[in-house]
Amino acid sequence: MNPEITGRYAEVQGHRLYLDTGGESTGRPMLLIHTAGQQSLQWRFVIPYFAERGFYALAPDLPGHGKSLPDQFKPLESIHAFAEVLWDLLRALHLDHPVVVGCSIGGDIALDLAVHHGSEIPAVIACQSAAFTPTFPPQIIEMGLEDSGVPSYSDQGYLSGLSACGSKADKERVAEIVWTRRLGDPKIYYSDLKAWIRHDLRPHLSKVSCPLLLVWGNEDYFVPRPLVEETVAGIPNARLEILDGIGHYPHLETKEFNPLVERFLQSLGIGKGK
Amino acid sequence: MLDLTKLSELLGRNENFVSSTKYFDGSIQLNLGKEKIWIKAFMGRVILVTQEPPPFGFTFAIEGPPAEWRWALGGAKNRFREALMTGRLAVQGNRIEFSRIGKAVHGLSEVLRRMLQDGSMRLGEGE
Repeated sequence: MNPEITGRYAEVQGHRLYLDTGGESTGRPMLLIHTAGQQSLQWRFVIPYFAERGFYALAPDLPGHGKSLPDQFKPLESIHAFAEVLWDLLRALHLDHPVVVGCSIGGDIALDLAVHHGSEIPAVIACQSAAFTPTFPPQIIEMGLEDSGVPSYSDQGYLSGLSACGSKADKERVAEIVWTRRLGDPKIYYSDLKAWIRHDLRPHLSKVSCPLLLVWGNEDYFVPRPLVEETVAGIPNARLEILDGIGHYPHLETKEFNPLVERFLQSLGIGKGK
Repeated sequence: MLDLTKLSELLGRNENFVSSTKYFDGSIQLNLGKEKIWIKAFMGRVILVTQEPPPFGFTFAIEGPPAEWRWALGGAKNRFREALMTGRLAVQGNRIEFSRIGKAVHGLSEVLRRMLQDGSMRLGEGE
């Protein structure tokens, strides 16, 4: 049992990936996938919690994010491409049958993994995400991909983060969310959003064979409820957990997030050890 | 002396200038000693290049004596940014817009360097 967070690197598909890890590598892998433009730091409250419970939690920086260098220094613009990088990362680390947890684009990536690798995944927890997320006008994203199109990016990130948190969000956590929203490169953030709006798993949802929990904070204006409900309805073994007064970052906004995930895993008989 | 048609064409083909001015509606004036060049850009396109700046002015101007322009653009290395940062060349007008379309300004320097090298731009002999 090791609740400390430890950093490491791995080379996958030409990307130099950084990841935070916690727990012994013999434990059940738990893959944690961050939101658009962000990094592994987002999971610092989740990693120790599950490390203490026997999981091997790993939170990579997606290619181009945080300390992860993208292959040929080109941002990825596809949710599926991100998903396959992470799947190959697990293979490279000799980790199998991971629990997958993601939020926002991380949730879309988790859903993509559920579609394409569900038979090898015991459970997916996808937060603030859906099978189809065309929630931003393409024109805004095109502007964001050009630096002159996003003046005051730092302030915009701060204000966007502030407005995306729910009214019942933990105030200290909100301060951290908006701090981290100032970090990063707008080109990476908007490339992520480009991937987000183009992603469409709707024709493939019936293929999902693993148990799936969708978590949705009901004050998240980035992801409208009908998109989430459509996703839940399309997946054979999925259920929806609604968090009242929570916004776009449930894994950060509320201390109830970790017990919620733990209860879901326990209901499936998934605990410590592989 | 500067070939205005060629300047317009080259700016219109310069990826840095075109992409960065995609979200720009304004004008850049070059004060090359006694000579003035006025460039109107709008949504990634060069609308007009003229040696007769209109009376309503410019969004920002870059100015300096010919010797400093030559120093910034004429060497083996592009020293345009260095010249701007160290005051060899000065910026007048809206510095926020100048900063916002920094990539376009770099593209402009690439074009001017090329024109200086091929002789389609000559900097104020005798000044």
